[in-house]
Amino acid sequence: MAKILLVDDAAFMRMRCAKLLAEKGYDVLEAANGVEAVQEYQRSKPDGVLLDITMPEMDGIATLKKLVEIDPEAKVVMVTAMGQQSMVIEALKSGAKDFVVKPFDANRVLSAVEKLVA
Amino acid sequence: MTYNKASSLFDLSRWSRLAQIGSINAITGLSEMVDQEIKVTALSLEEVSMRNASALIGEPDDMMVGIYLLFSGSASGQIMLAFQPQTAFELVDMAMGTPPGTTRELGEMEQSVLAEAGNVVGSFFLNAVADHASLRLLPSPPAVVMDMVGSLISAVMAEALQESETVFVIRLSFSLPGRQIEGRFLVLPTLDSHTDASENEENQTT
Amino acid sequence: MTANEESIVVGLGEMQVRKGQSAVLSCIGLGSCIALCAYDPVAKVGGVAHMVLPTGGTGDKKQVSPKYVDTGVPLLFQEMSKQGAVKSRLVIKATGGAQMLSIPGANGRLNVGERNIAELELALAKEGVSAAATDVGGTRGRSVKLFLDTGRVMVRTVEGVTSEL
Repeated sequence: MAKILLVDDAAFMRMRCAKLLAEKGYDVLEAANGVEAVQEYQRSKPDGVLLDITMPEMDGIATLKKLVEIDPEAKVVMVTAMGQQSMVIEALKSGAKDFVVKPFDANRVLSAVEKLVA
Repeated sequence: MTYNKASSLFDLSRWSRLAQIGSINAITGLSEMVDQEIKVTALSLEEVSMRNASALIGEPDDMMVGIYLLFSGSASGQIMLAFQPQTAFELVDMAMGTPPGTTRELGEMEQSVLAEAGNVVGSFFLNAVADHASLRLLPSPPAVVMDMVGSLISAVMAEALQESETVFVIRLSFSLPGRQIEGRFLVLPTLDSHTDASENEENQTT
Repeated sequence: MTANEESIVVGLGEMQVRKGQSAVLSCIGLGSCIALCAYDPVAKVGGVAHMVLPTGGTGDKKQVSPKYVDTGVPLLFQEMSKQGAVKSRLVIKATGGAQMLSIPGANGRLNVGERNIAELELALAKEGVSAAATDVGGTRGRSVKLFLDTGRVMVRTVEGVTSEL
């Protein structure tokens, strides 16, 4: 089944997402910040990434840009409370395939992931 | 209309609209996170002096859980979401779906839940203000602290006073109907950055 | 505390000096602020300054207030002298200066406590005095009481532990 990398500095969010995805049969990897995310991406080549924006060290937009630089085919969905118009536009322009606002509706996330790895 | 930048003539009415818009969205976010209805019980904007600062969230020697973050971008400032410890524990249970009374102290996961609550409330406030006034307002990751009200407030005030003589606070009080749960949400914009946001507010066609 | 002991709260940016009383001067909830407590055991004059920021500007714009460590220290001593205290007799203690709030990437801004401590050292040196005891720094809040009858200083941490400074 598809491998998804969850990137969020909040352990609670990672746990919640991981549970949701694992129940549907996805393999789940986790990273707590952008730096870890890039390392994990290179190491494990996940099929998709769920990426938070507000994180220490390297924020989600910088992480997104780095992932797309490493892998132009990178499939990334932003999952964040930071849903300002300027942010949504920047994320989509920088290569995100979708943008889900937290607190998320479980079905919204699941369908975003399904579309991503299809 | 000329906009006078002297703090003594600071126009609170311009900011009241932004504060209301931000607050409604902030509460929506928290409500979604805990899957409960939340009611705004008070919203105020005031210039706060050092003397009456601790009264913002409680008695100076009350224990309080504060979730703190900074914001920057078109404007900068501080945000703090504050709950009494017992309330914080109940919120953790609500967010995690565990039976009430399960959480009795703040370990790593519990702090993470509260950090996320601060992130959601803070981000939603900023999102609404930013989108309404065409700004960019970015929150920092949150910090969760449990300490005396006096200490938390004095730290926030000291930070605000570094930038400006006057401290301006947007204070939102809210509660969950039917439960003994209430909280406070403070936004302290840095004074000299107000001109950008509130001038944009002026320029919005409504 | 007995009914006879008046408790005088010294708020943010304030200073209180009393002579010959049995009251208690207290600061409730010190975060990054520094409470400077001074006591002349002979003249029975005690004072507390609740200082918030290290300095208040320079030159013409310089602000003189107990709110700032650099001016608060001399102001406290001056006020105490007016009430009969002698600087060389002062027993000086300081507490506070914690960093309560820590955000990755922003700690250059949030280190007011540390800067207050550094400024305190300078200010005391300028006055030619030194602190008999300090309990400063860390990440936790404190409350402090100066008992004006004895000059004793008690510091209480958020965990509820009280000890003498």
